[in-house]
Amino acid sequence: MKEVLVNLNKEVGVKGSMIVTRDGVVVASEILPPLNGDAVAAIASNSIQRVNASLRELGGNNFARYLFNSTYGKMIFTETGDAYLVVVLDKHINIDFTMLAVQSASRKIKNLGSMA
Amino acid sequence: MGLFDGTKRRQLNDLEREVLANPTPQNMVSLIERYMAAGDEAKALEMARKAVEKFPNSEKVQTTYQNVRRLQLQGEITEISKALRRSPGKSLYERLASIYHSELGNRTKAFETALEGLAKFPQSDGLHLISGLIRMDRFHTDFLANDFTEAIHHFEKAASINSNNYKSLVNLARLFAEAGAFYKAKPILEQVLRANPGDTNADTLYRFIGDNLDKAHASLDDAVAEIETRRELSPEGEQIRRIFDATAGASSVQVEQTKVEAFLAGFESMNGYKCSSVLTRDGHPHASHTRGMVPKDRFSKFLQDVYSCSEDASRKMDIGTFVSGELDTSLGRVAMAEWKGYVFGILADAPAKKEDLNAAVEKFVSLLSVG
Repeated sequence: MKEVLVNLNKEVGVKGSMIVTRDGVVVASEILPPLNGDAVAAIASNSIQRVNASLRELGGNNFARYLFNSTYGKMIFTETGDAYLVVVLDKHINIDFTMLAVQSASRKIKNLGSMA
Repeated sequence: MGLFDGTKRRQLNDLEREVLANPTPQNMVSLIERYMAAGDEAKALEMARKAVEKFPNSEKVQTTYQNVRRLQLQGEITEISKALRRSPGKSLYERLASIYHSELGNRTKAFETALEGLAKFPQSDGLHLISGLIRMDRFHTDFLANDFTEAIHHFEKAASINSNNYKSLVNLARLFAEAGAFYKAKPILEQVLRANPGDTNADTLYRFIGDNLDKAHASLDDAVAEIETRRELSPEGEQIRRIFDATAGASSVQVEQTKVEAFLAGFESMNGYKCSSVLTRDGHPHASHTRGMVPKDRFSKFLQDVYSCSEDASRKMDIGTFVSGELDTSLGRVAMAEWKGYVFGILADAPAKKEDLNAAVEKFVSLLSVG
């Protein structure tokens, strides 16, 4: 899984990536400086749990993908079976190209998970 | 070949006339791209400068301007990058950060370069100045206390390394004054005006402070925390900001609830539409609408939760504040955006496409922009 994250981090504008389970446990993490891996892990696991809890209140299931843009960066959460692939991105990227790489990494992680 | 050139020339002339008659970010960008394709870099740059002046908040215009300038500066950037790899030097980092910041307007690259340079040369007042200017820009966009504190730190550091770093001193005084800390700004301005009595901005600010000392804020920390909560400067702070930046615009607007409700009801005609909601930036429901499948109060609550979660994440990661988002769920797709003090969210399922939701967000932005 680490290898998938390392390769994903080579894509233009990717600042770091990690795999977090639905209940917030970090499975693998490749967060690049100046980002702080522990801080991103805490933020990612909190976000996944809060958004899913809100969705359940609304009558839905867990989310499949969440992308948010901030003034100086982006964050993507993509479902990979029992966990989420979390990617931190630069603001100035072509999101369509990067999404292809994220989806490809997500499929690889899903396959690795189902083989385990 | 001649006919082809003639057609291209006519198209260019038509576009030039269109821009003259009705300039928009879109047609100005098209014209710049046409000039570039024709190899006329001088005209492309002239038009790009006009576009940035006319539409300073358009990301498309900013990106196009950066692209034009980058083409012109590419040679120098490559040379500096090579030299930095061979033997990193303070002045090389300062020049590269300055190109990204002042010439290309690319704050992200400028900031990364400045921070990388500061890690190697912590005593560079030039890199502290650029970092301070970027943090100050960020503060003026998002009004986050962290950006204010970091900007002050960099300006103070630059001034302590080089007491003649006059730009850092002026900006330090400006930031203190914007937060109401007039007692901190005054002595700095006196120092600046002793060295440069002809600085009109510093002089105007000094006189403004003299006339408004009774409105000074006693605690800087409290004042900055209040700005972060309000997401705007005080009326005095805004006046000070305009001394230095006459084009600074309001970060929020007021829109009547009935008008927003009527706007949301307009989505009834959208295929796959389920519900929509608008909140104020502090999370209070402002207006909502549903087709009936999803209760509107529950959707508003959901939007509050997701917005506040994303806002928290952005702040903690030091990437500014929430701008927009999209969420794929079993109930359909949600698109969200924050603009001028309001948060909009819309839920729609198939046959609504991503483009339909993006168009809904665009309409919301237009509603608040036009008023």
